[in-house]
Amino acid sequence: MDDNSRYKDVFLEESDEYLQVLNDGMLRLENDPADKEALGDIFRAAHTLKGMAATMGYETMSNLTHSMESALELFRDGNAKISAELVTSIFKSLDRLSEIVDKLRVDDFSETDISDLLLELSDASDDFDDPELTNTETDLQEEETNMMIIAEASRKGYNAFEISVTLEEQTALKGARAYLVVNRLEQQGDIIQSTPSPEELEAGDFDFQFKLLYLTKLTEEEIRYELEGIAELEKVHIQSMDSTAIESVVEEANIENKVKADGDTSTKVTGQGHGANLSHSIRVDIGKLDNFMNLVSELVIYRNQLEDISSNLKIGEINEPLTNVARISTDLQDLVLKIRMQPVSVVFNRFPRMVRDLSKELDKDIDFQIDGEETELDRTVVSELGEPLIHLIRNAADHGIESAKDRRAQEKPEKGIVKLSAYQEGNRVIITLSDDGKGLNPATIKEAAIRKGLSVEGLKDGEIQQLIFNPGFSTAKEVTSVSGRGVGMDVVKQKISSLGGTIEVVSEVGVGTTFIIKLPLTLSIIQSLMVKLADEVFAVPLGLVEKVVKVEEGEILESHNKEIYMYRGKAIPVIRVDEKLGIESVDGEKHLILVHLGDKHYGLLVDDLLGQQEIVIKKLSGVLGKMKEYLGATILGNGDITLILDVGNLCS
Amino acid sequence: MGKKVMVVDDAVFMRMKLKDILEKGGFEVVAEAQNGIEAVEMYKQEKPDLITMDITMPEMDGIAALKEIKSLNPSAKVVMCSAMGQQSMVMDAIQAGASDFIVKPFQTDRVLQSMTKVSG
Repeated sequence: MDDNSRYKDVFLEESDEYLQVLNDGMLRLENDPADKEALGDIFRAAHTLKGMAATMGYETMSNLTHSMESALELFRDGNAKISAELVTSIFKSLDRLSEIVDKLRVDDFSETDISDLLLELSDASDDFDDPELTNTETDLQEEETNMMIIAEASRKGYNAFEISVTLEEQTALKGARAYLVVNRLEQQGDIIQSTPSPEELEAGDFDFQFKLLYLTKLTEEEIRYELEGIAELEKVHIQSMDSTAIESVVEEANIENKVKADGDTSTKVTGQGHGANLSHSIRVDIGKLDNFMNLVSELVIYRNQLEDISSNLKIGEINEPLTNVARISTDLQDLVLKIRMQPVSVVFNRFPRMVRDLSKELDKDIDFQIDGEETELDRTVVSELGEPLIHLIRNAADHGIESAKDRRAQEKPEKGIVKLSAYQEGNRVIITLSDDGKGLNPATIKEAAIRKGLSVEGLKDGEIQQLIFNPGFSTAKEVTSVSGRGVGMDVVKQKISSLGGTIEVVSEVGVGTTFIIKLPLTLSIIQSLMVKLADEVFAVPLGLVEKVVKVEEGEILESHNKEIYMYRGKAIPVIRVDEKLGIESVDGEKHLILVHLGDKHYGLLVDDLLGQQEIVIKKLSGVLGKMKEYLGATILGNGDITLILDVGNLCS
Repeated sequence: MGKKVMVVDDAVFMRMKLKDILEKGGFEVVAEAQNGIEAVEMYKQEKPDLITMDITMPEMDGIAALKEIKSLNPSAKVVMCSAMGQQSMVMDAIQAGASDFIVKPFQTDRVLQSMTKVSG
């Protein structure tokens, strides 16, 4: 199956998509068993998935998908009612399929046991206990499809032949020999089926005989003549398919199948049928896109250098072409950023299923709403977003939404609401997760905070609620399997800030809780403030900067062993960047950069300001990557490399 | 005289061996080439009926030469000479229009069977 390995990535990615379609479809079907469209989607996805898995030779996967399909078939045909058990079994099967796909992703080819699910599925549908039966069923189906293709083709003047070829016993490279036969025949017709499969045929994985189902305008004699020209064929048996038998099958055939069959004839042997009718898009390896991005960034850097040179040398002729280069490289930059954008639905999609499972597990009725899933973010951000959101949603379902009993007592509707929404605001994307649950009780948090030795003196309720983002903080009275192991919100916060974003919480007791996550549109190019410490230049992401003030040493006060700066009547902690980075700064006038992190202000003390600039973030790798003081590095117009400060980490 | 054949192989030994087999079988070897570029040149001059084409050769390999020759004359008959384990290259060649292939080490009857069938 080595020949298939290069399709693996596509296979895995598409499998994920189809599993998603199946999950969505089942959710829709569960809500409305009469939803024929959902059922149609499910069948199409299951069928494709089965075919893909079989083509790749992943039998377990195709078997399980097949059983799922069969169970649903009974329901579709009206022979069975869709039951809660069936739905659960199918969801379980989907999970198992995801597991299998995940295993394949890491090249783990160990067998996954699916016997329990096969049994469950057969129980749920109360039929097909006998796997033999289902096998013959598919064979029959396949035969039927073939018959329909043949019938359709014969109407267009094609003849159908079953050709059986026996190779000479000493044939070397059987696969290539068989391929020669297939290739020769395909020049004048279509092979719609081969035994063994095309893959096995090409691999030479057969004894000395293979059979082909061939559609052509040639006569039997002409085929024989074609094949006579090929060496090492011991015997060729050609049998014309009886066309009257074919016609009778057609009577029962429906149009949909014919259309499908039509499309299949040419693709079946080559095995490239999947994705043939996908939209006008192509899949690109993300590595290539990153590379593209890097090249464009370098282009921008050299453009800046050119601009420097041109303005220094005052060469008039170069200005116009340079302006054009500048414009095009800016467009290119915009374009590559756009290409990297992905809708948040990529992560949001899996949540409805998760909430459904949670609501079953916790025995709470939850209405999960999604809004603005088409909002786009840089791919890197999107892919990192899943984990923190899962955490927040679990929390909302577990701690936020009260039990039905409590909700009734508070005269709230029994069904709790969890709402996830996303929208763009300037160059940021705001994601909010709100629930109409019990809210964060400041008193409880205060109590817990004191128990953990945190200082809560003088904090307002709103500020106390933010304490949940502190490391090791969990208010859950009992640890449930869903959430509440004490690692939680701080991890969420860390993740969000590593993405260059912020998170805050707004909550009212008895009314609900809302988490507000603000994320940058892209991680790759940012506006930054260039600052100087001694002779070193650093970049500070401008998005976080609120204000810069000139300060004298005397304006920095000391309080509780900490240095602070009074800004609009508020004490702001001062961070001496030089000390943090181990740089000896020069004496004299200083600048304090006031940054806004979540709802808190900090002041970063630096020597000098150089100005504002758009920079391209290059991730640091290896040892440098582990230095949490820096977000990355960037190359300036003059070729110098500058480190970008990770303000979030410097302040915490 | 029999059909005119051009033998293409980078190894002198292989060319001799094939020439021997072919001439015993009644074919006329009209040209020999030791790489793909030579093969294409000689093909233009000699217009042989049949070509045996080694796959792995320096300068221009057999598949590239096959493609060139096919573009000069789509009905040119080219039999690829392959070693065991070159299955995928043989398939590429078939895709590119090779008429047949023979597998090293050459066996007289197999070579002749293939050449006869292809020329017939």
